[in-house]
Amino acid sequence: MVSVNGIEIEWQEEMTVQKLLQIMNYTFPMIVVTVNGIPVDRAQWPVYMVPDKSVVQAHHLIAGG
Amino acid sequence: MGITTEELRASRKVLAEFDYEPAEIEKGYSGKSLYINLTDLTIKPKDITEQMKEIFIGGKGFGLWYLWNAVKPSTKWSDPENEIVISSGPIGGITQYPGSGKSLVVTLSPLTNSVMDSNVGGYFGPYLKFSGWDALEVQGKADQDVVVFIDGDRGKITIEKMELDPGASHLVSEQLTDMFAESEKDKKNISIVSTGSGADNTLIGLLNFSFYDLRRKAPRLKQAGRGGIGTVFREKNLAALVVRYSSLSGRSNNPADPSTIAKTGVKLAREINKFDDEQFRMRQIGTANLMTPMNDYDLLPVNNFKFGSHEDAVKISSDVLRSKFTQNMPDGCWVGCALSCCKAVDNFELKTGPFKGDKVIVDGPEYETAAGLGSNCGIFDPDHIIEANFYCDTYGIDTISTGTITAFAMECYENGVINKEITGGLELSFGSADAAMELIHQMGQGRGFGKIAGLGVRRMKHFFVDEYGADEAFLEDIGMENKGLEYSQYQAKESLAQQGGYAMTNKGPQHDEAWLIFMDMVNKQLPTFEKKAEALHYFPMFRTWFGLMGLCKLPWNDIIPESNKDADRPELIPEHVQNYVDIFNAVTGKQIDKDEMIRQSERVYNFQRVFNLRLGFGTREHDAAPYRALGPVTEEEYESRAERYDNQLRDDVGINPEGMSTADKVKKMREYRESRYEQLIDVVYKRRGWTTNGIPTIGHLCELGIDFPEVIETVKNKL
Repeated sequence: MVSVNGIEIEWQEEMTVQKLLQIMNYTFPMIVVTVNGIPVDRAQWPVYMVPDKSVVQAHHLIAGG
Repeated sequence: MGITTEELRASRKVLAEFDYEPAEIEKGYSGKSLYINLTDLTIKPKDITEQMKEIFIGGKGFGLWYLWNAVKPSTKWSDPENEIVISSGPIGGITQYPGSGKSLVVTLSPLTNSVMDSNVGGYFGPYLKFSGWDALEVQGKADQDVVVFIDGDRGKITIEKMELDPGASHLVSEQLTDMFAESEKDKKNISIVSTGSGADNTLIGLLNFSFYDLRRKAPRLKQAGRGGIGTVFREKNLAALVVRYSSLSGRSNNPADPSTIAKTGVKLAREINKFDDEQFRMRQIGTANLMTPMNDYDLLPVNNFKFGSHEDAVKISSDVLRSKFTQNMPDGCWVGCALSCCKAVDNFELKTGPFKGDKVIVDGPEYETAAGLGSNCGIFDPDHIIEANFYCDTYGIDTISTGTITAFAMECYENGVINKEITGGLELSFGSADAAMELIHQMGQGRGFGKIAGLGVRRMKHFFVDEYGADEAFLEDIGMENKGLEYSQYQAKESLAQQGGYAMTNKGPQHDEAWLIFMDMVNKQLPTFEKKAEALHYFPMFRTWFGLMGLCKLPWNDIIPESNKDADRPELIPEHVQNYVDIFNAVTGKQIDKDEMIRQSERVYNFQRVFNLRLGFGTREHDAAPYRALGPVTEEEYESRAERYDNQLRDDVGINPEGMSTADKVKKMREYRESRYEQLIDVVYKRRGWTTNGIPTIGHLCELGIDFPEVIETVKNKL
């Protein structure tokens, strides 16, 4: 399992940050991601592997209209 | 409508005039305000005191203070003593920092019967100040339609009558710009405040503030939309306010430290240039950039806020709306705004209504308009949204209220509360674009069912119960209003903090106080009541500050600086907060910090709460929310997100949903959510320094320095 913003989802093989955000349908352009407390730069999302049991924070930088 | 500019000019008759020497602007203030009484045609200056500047700052603060002194607890919105106050603020009118041209309008609202404030772009507020007036108070009621002209170049104010048809705001703005400008080049120096026939015929009238678009050679319109301010305007028989000021420069605001303002503005402009295309695309799409993500995150209101997304929303996505915008360059509602979120559709050929066949400029649609007139009514046709946007603006009715009213009427229609006989033949089912458009025309022209719809959701509920025997409890659940004001266009069901952000507001459920949905629902940054309460203290206070200054909120968080990735509290956008502190200090010569910034707002915010109390509102019962804003009212809503709600019952409420009927699940969910909302109110009130009934404590008011005798007396009488 992986915790994403407190939501538990099934971990998958070859689960990159990008894949994880797709599963969550996190389409917003301004997201800051940390995996187990480590910031992951946007450029690394397609290749950065998310280990099983990770705690992921995907902070959407949007404060609305 | 057929009158020419020459005929209009020839028809002018001056009823009253006042000559003055425009005050020099000193550190963001002229030090004078202008008072006009339309009953006896008084025109006179007032001094802005140091105490006013210290406590009320400007903008909304000045508006509240003047209105407080103008009205009695018994004053109604339609009484002549009600005022419309317009003020920008000390930062308003600078041209070096994006988003610095806002005006704040304050009055007693016909929708809420209490204090309303609405912010708006366009050039009027800055030009008013540079013409020598930090604020304009309009009181009284003229015995015929009048135009007030403030000529900041000549130092002359006139109240005039003329053969002006005030029914269509886009024509009023064009005609008055043509008439008052002394040359083609002078048109950019004119700004008009006007409304349309919808303001005469409904309680949701708005005010359009113009700015002249040099490229299009036409005035553009920005809206002070909320709360029926335009209705008050027309009640006073005001046809238009006009200001002329031709000496705008980068030094017009005469700040204490221009170099800091320039440096800070350049820094932000560079950020915008560098990041906007990859961030929010404000320059390309404006606020309509929210359409797609709101649908993706189940936050786009659909069918009177029943749902948060729809498969057809792709037809009105951000990119579809972008494809409709016709300008090819950034477009701002005040000079020097690099964020340039204004958008327009040129040469749009109208298919309906009194201007059918005309090719017009449509300002927008912005997010709220597209969501309100589109998805919330189950309509996913961009051309319908654009046409409805145009007519709402030119009739002078608020697109947000119009959307929520229409959606409510549609749900009533689908549930048999009203029928074709009552609507005069309108088939107001969700998705009925033709009926929705006809309803706008009826509201704008004061015809048919539009006369009922134009009263707003609160009065519609009462009318349907009294006249047609509707189920009152059901209408209270689905009628999306609080304090009498219609909800703006975000789905708040899954964010408890946003439910408070809407309903625990001073003026009603407009998102400009707090927009916490992502922090709360998606990012899970507010897991406890205390954290939600802290957010519902900080953000309303912080956002109030923009309205004291003449600032637009968008450049705060619709562009994110590089430094934010290392910020401890990225949601605050700390670098931009510091920019604002620096700019305030650079304009005024004062030395505040970010804590004092919040205190400045807190004074005005609490004063507004006491003002509500004085008028018979402002207590806990007025912060109640319709259940549609808190959770699923109907089984249809529950079933549409059954997995989500079942999980919540299991995980959050501690109830196993298996074997339960949907009706029972809806009931249990409701008990849980309503209880949570009441708990939220308790902690938020405590954090704000209020009693459990929502009344600011005497100690808190003393601490804030707003313990004026009348304020204390008002509060004492309510405790």
